[in-house]
Amino acid sequence: MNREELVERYFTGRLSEDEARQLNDALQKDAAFAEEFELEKDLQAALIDKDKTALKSKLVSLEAEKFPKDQKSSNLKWWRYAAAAILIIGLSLFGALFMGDQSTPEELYAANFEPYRNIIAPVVRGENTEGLLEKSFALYERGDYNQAEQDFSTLYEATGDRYLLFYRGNALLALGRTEEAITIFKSHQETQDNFYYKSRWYLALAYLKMDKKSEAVSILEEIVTNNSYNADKAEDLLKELEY
Amino acid sequence: MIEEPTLEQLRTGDAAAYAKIYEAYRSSFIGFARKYELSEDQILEVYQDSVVKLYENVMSGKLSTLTSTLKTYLFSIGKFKIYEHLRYSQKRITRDELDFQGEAFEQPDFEETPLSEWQVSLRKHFETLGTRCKMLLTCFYLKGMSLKDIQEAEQYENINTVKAAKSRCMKQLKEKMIP
Repeated sequence: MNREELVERYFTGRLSEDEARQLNDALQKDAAFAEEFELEKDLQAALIDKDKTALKSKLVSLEAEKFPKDQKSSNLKWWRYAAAAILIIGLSLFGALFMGDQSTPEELYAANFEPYRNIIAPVVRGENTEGLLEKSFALYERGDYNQAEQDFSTLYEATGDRYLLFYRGNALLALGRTEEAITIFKSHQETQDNFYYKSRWYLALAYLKMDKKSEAVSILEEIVTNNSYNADKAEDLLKELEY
Repeated sequence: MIEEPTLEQLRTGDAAAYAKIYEAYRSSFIGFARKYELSEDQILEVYQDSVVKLYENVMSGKLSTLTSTLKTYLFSIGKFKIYEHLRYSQKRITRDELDFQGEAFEQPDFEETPLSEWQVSLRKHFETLGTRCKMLLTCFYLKGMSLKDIQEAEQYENINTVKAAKSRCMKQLKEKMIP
């Protein structure tokens, strides 16, 4: 068996004892080969580490979603992980597990989704809702999408301000509650406010997440045609989706 | 008790499989860990870190054969982590109290070793590679797919094309590391 095959068997976890000895011999005899192999092992360690971070975030979100009662006493740590979850899920390789020849729609979603930034709370000073509005956007910024989502819903019922639907949709997406997010974005898009085109973009992403490629594509094409929000990203996505 | 996934299945790194394990043994782990001076949050954190450690050991090949059930293995990690945690917070506890009967206590496989500076830099530069390279290297070095598997899954023309692409990607990565 040649070196290349030994290395391959090492990384696929199929090295027999005898082959392990052969590999060791080769490594001892050839410094350049040993150096190359070290690099490969370092890369493996780096990739595992990256996924560990992603898995931890996933477990933290899973805990928060499925066992919410136990989360009542949770502290700042939870925010940190939830925020990290959103960042990391974007880069996470887990999407890559559902592999095809191309990036899957879900991977594309993960690579592109980032909750729309808060441009509301710093400028808005409502009267009777001041407390809750500020609080909800602070939660949103900190990555507590669960509580933020509930507050946006309450606020929307109280005020009817439609931009709240847009942010609520974002929070739902961040929470992985994609179907609900789709409903909310659609309802937001019944009228065209300042967030309309942004809302279209997020709806397209939500469809990607649900693996509804044709729905996603038709919105992305519309975004490109109108040259509206994130038109360049939409164009890239279409390319990736081979349209 | 659930039907436990095989190591081979876990070796693909499927996060859903680990999430399933997490859910399946969560309550029994909490029950077990309640005996010690740990808050619910601390228990959950230890448990999450234990599942993550299981992932690491499977993916790195440190756990290549199971001599017990996965649950037993996972709980050994958990016990080790509880012990570490209590020792760190200077609470007195003996190994006997933690019920380490007959288990070797020195468990280097359960310890956390942070990445070296070089590895951190490797991780950072890896992110700047193209999608195709990232996918290819991830398949080979992380998920343990053979060149043949990769050729089929990623629709390369033949094994030699995969090999060539792989060494091109590694070359790129090296150049980023040592400009």
